[in-house]
Amino acid sequence: MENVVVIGGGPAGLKAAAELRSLGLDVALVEKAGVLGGTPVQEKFALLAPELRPAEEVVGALVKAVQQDGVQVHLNSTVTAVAGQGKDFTLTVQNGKGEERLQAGAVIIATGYEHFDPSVKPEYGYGVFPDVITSAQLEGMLSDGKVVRPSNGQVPKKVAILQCIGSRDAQVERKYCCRVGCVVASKQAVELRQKYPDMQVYIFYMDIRTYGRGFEELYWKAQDDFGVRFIRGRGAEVRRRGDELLLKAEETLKARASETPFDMVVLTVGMGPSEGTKAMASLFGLPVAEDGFVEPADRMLAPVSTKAAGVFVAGTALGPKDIEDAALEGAAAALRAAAYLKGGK
Amino acid sequence: MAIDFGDLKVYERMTQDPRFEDAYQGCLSCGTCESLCPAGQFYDYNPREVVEATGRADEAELRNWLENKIWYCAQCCSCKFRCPRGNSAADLVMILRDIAVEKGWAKEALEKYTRILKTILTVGNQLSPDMIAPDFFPDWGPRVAEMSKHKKEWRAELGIPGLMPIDRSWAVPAHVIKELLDIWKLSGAMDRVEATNPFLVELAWDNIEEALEDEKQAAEASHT
Repeated sequence: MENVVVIGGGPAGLKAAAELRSLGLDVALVEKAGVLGGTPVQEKFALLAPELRPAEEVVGALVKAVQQDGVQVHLNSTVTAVAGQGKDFTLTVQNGKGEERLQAGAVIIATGYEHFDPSVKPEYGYGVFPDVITSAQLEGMLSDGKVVRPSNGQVPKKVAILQCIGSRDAQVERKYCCRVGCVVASKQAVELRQKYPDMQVYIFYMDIRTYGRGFEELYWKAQDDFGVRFIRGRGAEVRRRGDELLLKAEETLKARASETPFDMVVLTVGMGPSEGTKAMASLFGLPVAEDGFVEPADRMLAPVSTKAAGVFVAGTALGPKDIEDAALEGAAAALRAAAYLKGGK
Repeated sequence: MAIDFGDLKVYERMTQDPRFEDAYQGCLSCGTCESLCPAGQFYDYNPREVVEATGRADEAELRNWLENKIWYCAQCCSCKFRCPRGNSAADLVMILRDIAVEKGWAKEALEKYTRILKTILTVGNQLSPDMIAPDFFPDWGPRVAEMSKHKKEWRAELGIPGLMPIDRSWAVPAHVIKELLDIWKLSGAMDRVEATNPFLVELAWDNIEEALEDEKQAAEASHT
């Protein structure tokens, strides 16, 4: 049976679906939301690092490819059961209207991630103080073209961006790095300074990890061209004093702890496996690693394959990564699935 | 006070402590501990230093801490419960303090706690609810303040004696204190007190002998 069901319509799933079509296979794409594009669309990403291109332009192109290539798209749909095995799967798909069955020779799971919920760490006051927001919320504000303090609707004069909220943190069982937070914060700071030249923007970090091509350059640009202030120290606690927020942090390079007033605090939230990723791992019997993400057959040698024949994985279901890498994995998974159906392994 | 460290290997001795494995994991040098440390606000004290010195097995720095800084920590354990790496600077400090006590280097630092130690050794506890007033701890919130306001009546109703700072929060019978002293003796705690305050140990044993005698007489009196 030369058809593949791709589960998840984010960058990885979209790319996988489009590549499978280019190889001449029939593809069905199952997406839980009512719209394609995944988290970048649902959370209204603004510009993408490091090139500062609108997310819409990039993700829009991926969506368009799928729509034009004759992929059978199932929106508002979730896979609730699987029967059969490699080369002959029957998936039960639930949508608003009822259930349907999809036949598949192979399956690609691209069910993505979700952001860390910072209310788990009450010391940051998220959900208590309205002017403490997440990086995802800031992204939405940047997309909407207006960044204001939720408490009073005014543009903040002084903003602190706190890195690694729900990343590199044993207290919340999130020991890993989110990989994109450093470049996303640099990008957001640049966007803020571009839009509001009078705004002071501080980034509190432990290490700047700009591993991707062009990431370090954007970090430099934030310093060189936009006067973003980088303070080495993890933001530790936020409290309120009257109209302002007070941030406790140690400027570790000076070994000096301080409490500094800000108008708005942005929490750069980490990435964890999405509910869909957890559900699909359980449905297809895939092992998950200590970090909660799907464990592939071999991280180095078979990074998008799984122990289950005919089941492949791509994107942030395999761990935190940026859109470029997620799409690359989608393409790799498409190739593996096609090879599998052509009689390979 | 200059300490004669002799041939003590501080780091090695720390690693032998059963608490060490949990207290030190590694360090991100993120500054969370120092940001939250109340002692850091008042003293030249940064809990991150002791964690990093431990990570480097920095003998000179650890000795420096043993000289003085270990006594600044209030053991509030904010560092322990917030450290993203799972360290406890508070426990590292406690391990160092135990080394200081064991070696007899804690006399000066612990002198001012003699009265507390004496109360614990002679009456079994030293806290009284009056010692901790909600005015000093606004973060406890209104409920505790309200409870505190009525504590005299409530305690009287529940039949819990004692409230004054010079007294104790509850009365411990003499034979129970004797048991405590025996436990402290067997566990080595009394040796530690002796290393710092030899006269207190003597006083505790004298005191308990008298108290037991009083208890015995009171029991006999109530029987007749």
